[in-house]
Amino acid sequence: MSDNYFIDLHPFSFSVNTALPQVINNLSTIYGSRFRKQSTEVADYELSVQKSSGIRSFIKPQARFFCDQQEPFKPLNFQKAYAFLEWGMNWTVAGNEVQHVIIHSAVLAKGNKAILFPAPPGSGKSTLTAYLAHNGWRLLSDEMALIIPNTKTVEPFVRPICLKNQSIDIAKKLFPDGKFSDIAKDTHKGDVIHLSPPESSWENQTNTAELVGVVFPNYRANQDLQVYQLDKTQAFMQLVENAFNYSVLRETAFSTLTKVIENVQTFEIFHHDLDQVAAFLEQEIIDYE
Amino acid sequence: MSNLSADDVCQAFISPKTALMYTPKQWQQLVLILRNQQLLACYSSIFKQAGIFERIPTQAQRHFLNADVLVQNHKKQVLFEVSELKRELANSQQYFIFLKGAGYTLSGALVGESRIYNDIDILTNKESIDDMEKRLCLFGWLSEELTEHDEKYYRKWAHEIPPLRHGQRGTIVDVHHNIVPIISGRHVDADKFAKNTVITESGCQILSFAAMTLHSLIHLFFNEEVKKGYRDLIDLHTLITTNNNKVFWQDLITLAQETGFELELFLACRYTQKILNTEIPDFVQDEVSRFCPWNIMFLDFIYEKALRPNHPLCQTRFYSLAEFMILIRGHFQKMPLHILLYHLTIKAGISLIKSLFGKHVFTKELDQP
Repeated sequence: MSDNYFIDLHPFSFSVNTALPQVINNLSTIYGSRFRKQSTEVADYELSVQKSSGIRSFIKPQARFFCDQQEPFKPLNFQKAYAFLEWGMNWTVAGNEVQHVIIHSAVLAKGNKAILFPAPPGSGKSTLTAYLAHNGWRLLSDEMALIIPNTKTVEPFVRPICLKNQSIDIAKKLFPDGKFSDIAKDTHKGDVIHLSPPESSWENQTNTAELVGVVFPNYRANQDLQVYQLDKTQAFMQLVENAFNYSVLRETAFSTLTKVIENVQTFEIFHHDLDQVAAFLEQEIIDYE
Repeated sequence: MSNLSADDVCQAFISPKTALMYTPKQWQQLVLILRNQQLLACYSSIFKQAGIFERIPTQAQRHFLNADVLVQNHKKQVLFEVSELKRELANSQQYFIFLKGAGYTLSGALVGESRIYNDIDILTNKESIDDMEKRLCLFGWLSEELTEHDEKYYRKWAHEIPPLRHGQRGTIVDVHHNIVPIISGRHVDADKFAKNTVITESGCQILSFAAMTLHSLIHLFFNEEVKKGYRDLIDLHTLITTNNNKVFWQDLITLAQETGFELELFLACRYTQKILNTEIPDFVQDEVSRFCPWNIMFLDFIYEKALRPNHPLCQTRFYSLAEFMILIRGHFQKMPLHILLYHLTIKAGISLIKSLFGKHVFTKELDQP
């Protein structure tokens, strides 16, 4: 039997209709007390994850995703149902929410000062995110940074950290007490696992932070930390490329990103030692101001 | 407080101030229903006009504001695609008329203000359609892969060619050579519609408001699908309300008679009035009441249900039955019995296999959400 669940996130809430134990268990692991049976709350978005019907539910079963009664994607292998839902949530926000300039980027903060980490998959961004979140930093976002238009203020949208391939083993060693989801195998990003950020990030999920830096991380095996200051134009263009709703928000997005870039430090870094990175970020960006 | 009903949603359209009684929870329900029906932006402008937008609870208000931005963006994109099409078809001899959503947007009238749609519809005459398809192909508009049956359905019986998708931008263009399927036997000469057009300031050809309204009501009442019935009814309401003058009505009635869609006109007047309180002048009432069919009780039963907002949160009783009957009625109107049986046998065969093996049994897995 399908039940309705409620994921109470800031600033967007979701209801999820599902009967799949895999999805329910993973949601419960990742979101903890923010995930519960829906009673009287009405969510911003109604999602649903179901097993495909008929004989297909026995032979190579598939999972289907629905948002507001529509099915935007083709089904995925059943084993990836939970990861499918997480991506579906991202898609829902990216397609509907235009009150923020949304950047494909992680955001972490020390106190009130936040750094944006936009980077393509494979750059080691999520490993860095997970490391910082477990070492005195506060996670605001792993994949979607919400910037309030015409400010440098970031609205947290705390969600699990999405780790891929080799970083799964690394993360499991680094954070033995971490709350991990099941592994979704052979997705378009390879093997994928979700890791719940530490409780302190969740507790602060309604506290905004001010951007002081934009850092583009690149993981390189056996590479001591190298830091390059990025010129403003390059940094701006890279932010634009990573903005989900730039073409929708147009002038607003342009002026917001300009304001951010003009008022923060911008770096590109190459690294393999996360400790070195953390030290650099604190000394050169957080303590600089 | 109880859950919103479909009637509450209609009532909020007719007199927006009734929504001020909603609890925050009911506002959230309204948002979910309207987003599903692609009507958030429409209601947003209604609430603004009624001067009550500021009194919407913040959480719900955000969704209306989102919809406002998305609709503006949609409009810009449509205008861009239209200018591309105009450029690409500039040297051709045939006419092309923008229909439905794109027509509404280009008209600059209220009906196009808050409308979101998935494709751009063009009408041309049947002789030029091959030429137009080839020409559009040159500019990157290609037809998608279809099953053999669907391909045959389009080419032989339908009033349009298969949808053309732009390879880079993903926009879809539907090229029609008629407004109803040829096979229905009720098709009208596309040229007849071509005579009732206007040229917009930007040089695009669209239907006159009377012809636009006729097309809109044919689309709603001569169709087997009413998933977006409530939204279409609101389009009709808006077209009627913003053009409510004698000339418009006379043109509309004449055109309906010339093309043989008097019944559909009657139904449009009847249900906009019943569901949305649309003001229909007395002389029009008298005129169209002649077209009242013998089975009006049956039609009332199905349309009064199917044309209200349809969402699991507020579904009216017997909605599914009404929807099913419209499916049957629509098919019967569109095809002679022997073709209908053939078409339904094939479709039923496919859906039988799907219900047995799962909906996506034929869908290739695409691991890319």
